[in-house]
Amino acid sequence: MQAEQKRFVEKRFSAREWRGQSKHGRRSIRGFSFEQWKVPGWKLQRVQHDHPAKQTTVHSLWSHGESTSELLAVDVFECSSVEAAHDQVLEALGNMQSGVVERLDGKNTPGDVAFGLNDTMVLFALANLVVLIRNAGPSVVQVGEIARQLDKFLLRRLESKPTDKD
Amino acid sequence: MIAIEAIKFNHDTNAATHDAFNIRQNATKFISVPEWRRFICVNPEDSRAAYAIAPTRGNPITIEVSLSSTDPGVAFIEVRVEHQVKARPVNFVNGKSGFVGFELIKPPVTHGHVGIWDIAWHWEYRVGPHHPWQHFATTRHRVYVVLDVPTDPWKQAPYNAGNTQLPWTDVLDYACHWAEGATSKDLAAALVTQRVYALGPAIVTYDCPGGGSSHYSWGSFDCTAFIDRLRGGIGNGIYLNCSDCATIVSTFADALGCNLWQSKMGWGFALNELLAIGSNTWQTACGWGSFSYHEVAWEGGGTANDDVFDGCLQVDGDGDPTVAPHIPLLPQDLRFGNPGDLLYRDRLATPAGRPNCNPQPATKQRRLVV
Repeated sequence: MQAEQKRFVEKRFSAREWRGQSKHGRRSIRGFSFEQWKVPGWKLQRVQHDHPAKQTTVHSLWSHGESTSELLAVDVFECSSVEAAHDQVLEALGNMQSGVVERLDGKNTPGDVAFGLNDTMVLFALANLVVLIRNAGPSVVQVGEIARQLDKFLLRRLESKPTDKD
Repeated sequence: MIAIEAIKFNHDTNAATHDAFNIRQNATKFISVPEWRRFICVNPEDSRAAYAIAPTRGNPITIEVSLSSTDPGVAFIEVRVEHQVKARPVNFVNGKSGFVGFELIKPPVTHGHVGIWDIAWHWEYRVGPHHPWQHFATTRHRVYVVLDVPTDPWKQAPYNAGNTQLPWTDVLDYACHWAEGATSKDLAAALVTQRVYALGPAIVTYDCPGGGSSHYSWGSFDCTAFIDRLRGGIGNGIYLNCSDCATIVSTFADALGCNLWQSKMGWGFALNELLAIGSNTWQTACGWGSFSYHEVAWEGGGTANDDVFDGCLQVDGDGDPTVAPHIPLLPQDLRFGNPGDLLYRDRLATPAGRPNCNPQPATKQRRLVV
């Protein structure tokens, strides 16, 4: 992201309030895959692993049963640190045109920090991971509950592992 | 028996002045030369070649053909395709001619406009000037004609299977069709812009549920997924945003020899009512009221004085874009302009938003095609 745009995004989403902070200290998750994560009623259509310089990205596409009218794109970015994950959050926010994407808060908010729009898109960071859940099919579905399920799944993995000192 | 063994259209991979330019089919499939081979190529799509109008203008266009003869008594013949390939003598040594050059007669590239031609060549030979021509083979080919050698992100070198940025025929299949008949780069880019916008709402639609996020062009251009979507597959889903549209328009137009960039404007500006791709409702992009940024296909330096092509939305084209009624205007070759010019910027952003809707030429790029 270009420097001026990054400054705009940091300011708009009050990055100072959350950047670099995680409830899970320096714990991290390595080698994420969708193999063990099941969402009732949803079928994994496609998964693709990218390995660019900064992080590993797992792109996935899910359909609601056999229908392709309800599709979800779930992307997981595995970053080197909490700081890198939060940079990735800003990068994702910088790719969203809407002026009304907002920070999510409250008891059921997934991750260390989360952003969303009308429960049809959720972006959150948990430790060193960034998760982006978006609709990809013409029939729009709510994504909040799915985000919370994935958050719980990741939390279990995070808490079952010894602390990674990066 | 006389036979055509192979035909090279792109016989000089270092130039595009007298022959076809370097291409591949897509990210994974390379097109090797000779493009046509006996027993392998049957249909036009089995033998593809692409020509650029600008570098070939005024030049003879040649192909190289390898022939064979199983008749030991035939050592010297004339070969042609009536009205298409000029007759020339061919010698056989041990039944083989090796590759010999032939000049084409008024090939599609001399028509001077973008298009795709499926051609069938009916090859004939005769054993001497006073003998009748005899048909001996038919070959079929798909010929793409573009205005100029494709520009970045498309590359002509190195010419090998590992260069995934060689122009893709999977892209030319759409780009040449969308811009068919175009004789200028501005017209070709405009036609591509129109066709991209017209993909909504059936094929793609603006990403209101996802906050206008990029599904095809975050980082690189996932052209493979987009083409899958065009062909009726899932691709990366139905949604896209302005960056995706800017990338599709510029990358497809650049495959035709245009010279467009993807470049942004911003940051954080209020919108006039518009028609986003896939929508027939005049509103401020999903009703949000503002864009944090916007991206378009942009000419030149991506400045206020340069023209934009926006396949993502239609603006109000009347004398006052801030209020209804609205007259839809798809921005094609429209100057970005300064506040008060009533050009692209004024049509997109409200009077209060215009000072924040500035060209950001530092963001100018041409995303890698994957």
